[in-house]
Amino acid sequence: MARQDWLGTALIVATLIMIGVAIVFAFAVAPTPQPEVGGDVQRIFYFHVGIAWVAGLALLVTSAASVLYLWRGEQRRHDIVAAASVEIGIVFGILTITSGMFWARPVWGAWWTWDPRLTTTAITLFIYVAYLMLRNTIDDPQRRARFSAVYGIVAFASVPITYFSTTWWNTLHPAPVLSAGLTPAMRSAMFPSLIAFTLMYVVLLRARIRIEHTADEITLLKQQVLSS
Amino acid sequence: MSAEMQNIVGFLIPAYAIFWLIVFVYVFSLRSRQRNLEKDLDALKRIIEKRQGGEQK
Repeated sequence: MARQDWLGTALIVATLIMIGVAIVFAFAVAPTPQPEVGGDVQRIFYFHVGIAWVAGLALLVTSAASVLYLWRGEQRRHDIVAAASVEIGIVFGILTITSGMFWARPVWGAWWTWDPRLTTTAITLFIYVAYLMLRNTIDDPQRRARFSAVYGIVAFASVPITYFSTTWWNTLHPAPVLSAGLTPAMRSAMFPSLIAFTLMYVVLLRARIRIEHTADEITLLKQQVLSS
Repeated sequence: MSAEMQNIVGFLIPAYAIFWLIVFVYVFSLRSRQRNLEKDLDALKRIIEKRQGGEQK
């Protein structure tokens, strides 16, 4: 088995095991939640935080890859990572909002409110959807990569604004996890899901990068066919 | 059914179900994109091999 295949398989197996562990911790190990935070519905929290963490991580990776692209002589590999990671960030951003809505409805009595955290999360999501739209409108690969890199760096400002929105403005949303005063039992139940979703992100990122590499190979061969 | 049970059936289970549905749809889309590209790649390789074979004759 090739080294890459072995690593890919190991990552998938580790992800599946950790997802299993995260489910057990969220449903069996985590303490029974108080009725004022939704009772058992609060168990959505353990996945919601993991998903939101991956959304932020994916957008951070896009921003870092964009910096590297501009700094390290515009190498295609950095543009590939930026484009691949942003797509995963958007998927996990949608999942963050969706999982949050299922907690908000029984606890707040509404699927959606224009709360600062929810609003800034939605704005961040739209900013990165626009990033993908921008990529699709520019045909020249180098120009596309350069514009996307600048956009990817500037757009990342929306992520810390979203994170700190609960401390900067009055909000219904619970405080950031790091300062939320979680009990030790809640913290230990949350970490497996953080590890599981981080592993899932790595697996998805590798698969998405592979797509870009194959597409590049096709472009190269097409040029070869046309020029011969 | 108690309010607690209604919340579990109405919100907790659907939240997890929708999460996995979206993840599976995304994984499936990655897989199908990769497969389509690999098909295109194979077709292009065949065209190039044919051309090279024709040139050698």
